[in-house]
Amino acid sequence: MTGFLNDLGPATGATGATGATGATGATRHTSTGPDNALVVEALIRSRDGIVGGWQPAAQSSALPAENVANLSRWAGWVRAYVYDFEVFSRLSFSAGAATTPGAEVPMRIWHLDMTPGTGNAPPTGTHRPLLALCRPSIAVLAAQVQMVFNYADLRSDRAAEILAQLHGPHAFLGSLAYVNPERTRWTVELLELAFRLATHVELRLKHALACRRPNEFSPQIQPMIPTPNHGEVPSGHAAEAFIMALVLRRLIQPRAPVYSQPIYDQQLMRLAARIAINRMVAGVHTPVGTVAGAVLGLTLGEYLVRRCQGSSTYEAWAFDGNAYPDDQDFVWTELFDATQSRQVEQAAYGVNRTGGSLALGAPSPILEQLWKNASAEWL
Amino acid sequence: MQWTKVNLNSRYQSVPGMDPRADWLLGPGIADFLPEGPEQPFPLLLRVDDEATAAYLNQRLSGEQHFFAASFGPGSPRQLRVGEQVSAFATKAFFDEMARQEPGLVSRLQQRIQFSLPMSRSAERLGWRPGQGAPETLPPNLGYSSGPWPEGTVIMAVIDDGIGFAHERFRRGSDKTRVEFFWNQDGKVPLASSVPFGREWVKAEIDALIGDRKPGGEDEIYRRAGMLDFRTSDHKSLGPRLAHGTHILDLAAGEDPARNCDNRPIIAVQLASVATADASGASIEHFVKMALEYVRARAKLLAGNGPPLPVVVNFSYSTQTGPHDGTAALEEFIDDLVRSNDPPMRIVVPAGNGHAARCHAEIDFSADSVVSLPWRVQPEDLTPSTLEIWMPRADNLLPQADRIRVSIVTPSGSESPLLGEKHGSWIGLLNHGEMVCCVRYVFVPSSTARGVFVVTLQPSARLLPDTVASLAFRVAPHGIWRIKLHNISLSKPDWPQAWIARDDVVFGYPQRGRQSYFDADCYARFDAQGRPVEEDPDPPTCTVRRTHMMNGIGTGAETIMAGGFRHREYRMATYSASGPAMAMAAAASTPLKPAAALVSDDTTVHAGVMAAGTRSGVRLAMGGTSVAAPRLSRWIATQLAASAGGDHSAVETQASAEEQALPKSTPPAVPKRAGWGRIGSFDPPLGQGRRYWP
Repeated sequence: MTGFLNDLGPATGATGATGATGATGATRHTSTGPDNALVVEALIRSRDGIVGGWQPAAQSSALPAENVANLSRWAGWVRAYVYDFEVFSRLSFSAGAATTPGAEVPMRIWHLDMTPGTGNAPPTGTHRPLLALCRPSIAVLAAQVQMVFNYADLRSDRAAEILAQLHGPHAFLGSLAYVNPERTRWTVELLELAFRLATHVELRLKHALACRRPNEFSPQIQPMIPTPNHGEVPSGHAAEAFIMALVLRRLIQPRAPVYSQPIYDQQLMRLAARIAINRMVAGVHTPVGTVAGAVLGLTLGEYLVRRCQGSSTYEAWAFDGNAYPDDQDFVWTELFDATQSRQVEQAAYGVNRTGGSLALGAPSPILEQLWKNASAEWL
Repeated sequence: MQWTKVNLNSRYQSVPGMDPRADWLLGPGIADFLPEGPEQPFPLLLRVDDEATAAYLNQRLSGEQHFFAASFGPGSPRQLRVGEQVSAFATKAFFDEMARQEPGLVSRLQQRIQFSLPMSRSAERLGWRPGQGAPETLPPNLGYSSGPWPEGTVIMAVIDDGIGFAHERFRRGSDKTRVEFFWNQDGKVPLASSVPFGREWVKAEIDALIGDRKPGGEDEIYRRAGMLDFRTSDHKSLGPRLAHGTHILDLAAGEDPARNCDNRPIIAVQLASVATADASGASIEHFVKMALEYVRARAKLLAGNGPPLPVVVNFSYSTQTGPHDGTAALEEFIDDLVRSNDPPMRIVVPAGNGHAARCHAEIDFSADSVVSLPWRVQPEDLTPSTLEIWMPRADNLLPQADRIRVSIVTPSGSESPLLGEKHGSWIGLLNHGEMVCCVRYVFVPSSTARGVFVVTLQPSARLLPDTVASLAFRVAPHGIWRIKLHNISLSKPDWPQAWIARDDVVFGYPQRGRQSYFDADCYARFDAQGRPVEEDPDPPTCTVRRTHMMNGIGTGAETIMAGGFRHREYRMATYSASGPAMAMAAAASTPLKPAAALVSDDTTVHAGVMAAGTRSGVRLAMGGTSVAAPRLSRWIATQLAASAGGDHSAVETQASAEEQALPKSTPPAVPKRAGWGRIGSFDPPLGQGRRYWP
């Protein structure tokens, strides 16, 4: 028996990260799926039976080109690629120069403040800072590993959470606010976009910063899960948890009085922090890597929200690992002010806002439509 | 390995009243006792019985570099007075000198010196160095004074590990704590402070932490209080979601904050984690005594100029060793404290969970004059194992001749020479010159006035540091050690009693020890149908007994001990420890059984009872006689509030009344485990399943 068929989406498994969204519902390689030889054969035969001779077709009207109204026509996975293009076409990377001799080099993420060309002229633009991250020195990382050792005390207590959070914070965020793949499908797409934004930037930075993992400094760390095959700084789980928490916060905040209460900031940020800390407990991250990840997540979260809201400006932030003391722990309340609902500086250990309000440039109707649709789900 | 016999050369035992473990702790066991080296100061409890010794010690106290007294609050002694128990810190060098000066005979029967494990460095006064004399202890800076107190106010005190003092269950309203004083014995503190070690928090400070209402919540409060500092590797009892002390305090004194409870102020003490981590309980005496003195001092402060406020202290810890006759140092201190009635105090402890632990034996020589105790020592036991064999009282106190002799056989069959009742003599098993087993006889003077054979084994495994090569030999073989007791002149009912020290995992702490036990063929664990046997057969058929595993620090006359039972079935919990099978020739006023039994498990399948987890909003199950005790504490408080006695006899009366009023179909409970009876009247009735404690 076959249900309604859908296409499979791209052949590559690389979109595994989007698998968490049930909304795309792509049936894959099931016995009743579209690639099933039986169904294909049946479709051919059935058509042979009923088609009859060719009659010229009536013309249907053309869809408007380059129009956000078409978005809901496409499959979810298609929209995901479209959002990604909107976001990543405005980002670029460069490795900077150390400000003092011997210091670690800042890795920079730039935002393109773009102006579209008129007619067929090419767009023009200026790259503006978005993020700058310096890694801590190897000596600081080695010293921080002692705290990872101390955090192991909590392993038994946190084991269930650590395993449930291996692939991300989705279930936990969804439990905190009523996020559901069918009821709030656009919100889910928005949060998945945030997740992918964090992932792309964090992995590019992990490659650039090339920081060793705790278990490379000592055989006594013995992480309770396999150490992932990428650099330590910045912490991916921290970035993903904080970006999704912040984007969700901004989305629902104005939608109803209940959502505007500060307790939402408090609970969302506590959750993101706990997920981030669980990675230290597991033995795969240090406090400095977690701080870097949190700064990344909060900065990109605010940035994505501004782009989706059609704002004209955004904020740039920097984390200078050179300034990070070797005995500093990760304390989320020092990086985000939950009463004011905003990111805060921590000059004492290298977290600073840079450059004031920066111009976003050309808006993206596609992202704005996504935001509108997601907002409408919260009543 | 070879056996060797040593006579009274043992330097430390020559000092009258010295801790029976002194020669081991400062000798073959020093690497485990003083991990930072022989210079490390350790705490002790002292009581002297003559002016000359008191003067000598007091002279050493002033400006002494190896010895200083710990005290706090107005009225606590900083100098020794004859007959009073004092807490102090000393180093090995101090005892070396003391031992050199003593003549070496047990002449003074009232003296007592009891060692405790040293604390982690972070708890000691920052900046204190030997030679500086005792650090100053100041009165606490209250901020504001509580009171006047309404009629019926009773102070609830809990001494435990992992007490979440900022928890909402310990508040009136949403942000005023009921915790008037909290002493973290492990905290960091500057040199001039209100406690001799650790760090004290007064209500004003706790209110400030809570009132800040920081978004980080209670995680942030405990972080700021230094109790969740991951820069140190100290044990963090408030890290996990369930901690012993928070659960206990909730059962004893927790209230819905909306009830605005104003007549149950709380004083809480976080015991030094070394005291909790050492499962044998051998090291808690000093810390607990300091905690009790602290509670008393602060209770007086709270009463101010008004009438004295009564105090109920819940101390949910239990040990397995000791004379079990009310004469342990801590038991006597508790008796003195309660009898002084200044202010009225009640101390409640659990009966203990060792009923089925196979850690007690009564050596009955009726059938045979040689009895062999098979002591199974586990492999991979990283902590020393200890066994005590207590002799009955001799007619003229000090035994004039050997009444029994003891030998010990290693797992591989090598038998030691015989050891008799000569104070200070010992036999040791040497492995490449390092002592791995030690059996010694000590006469414990003072009110105990009994001899004890103490057998100590090195750990059966060690994680060796690179540096100390000889440590590799300080490992005792695991397997069955046989302790052979040869009777010479003992007869019924004066039999020796043997107890194995507790050595298993402590709640919330990493596993290091493994419990050793008596592994005797005659001990039937299961009946013919495969069910676990709950009580010893009568008459007993085996030296190894379930009876008399009750708390080694709960046998004092004034200590109120609580056993545990399962609420649905009204049967004793299988672990709830028992008093002795028959009366011993002990101090007449000691009850020799728990005062009463209270609920410690909801049902057979719903183990434990529900009470607070470490963070507000969390409730979890925890069982054991530890949770029966605070229920009794709460009841005693209601009695004291109504100006009734709330003492041991009041508990007996209530327990008897409730036991007699039980329906005839209720399964019986043996008095030596349930005490005077089962008290369940003030627990809400059990519904279909678990009860969620209000």
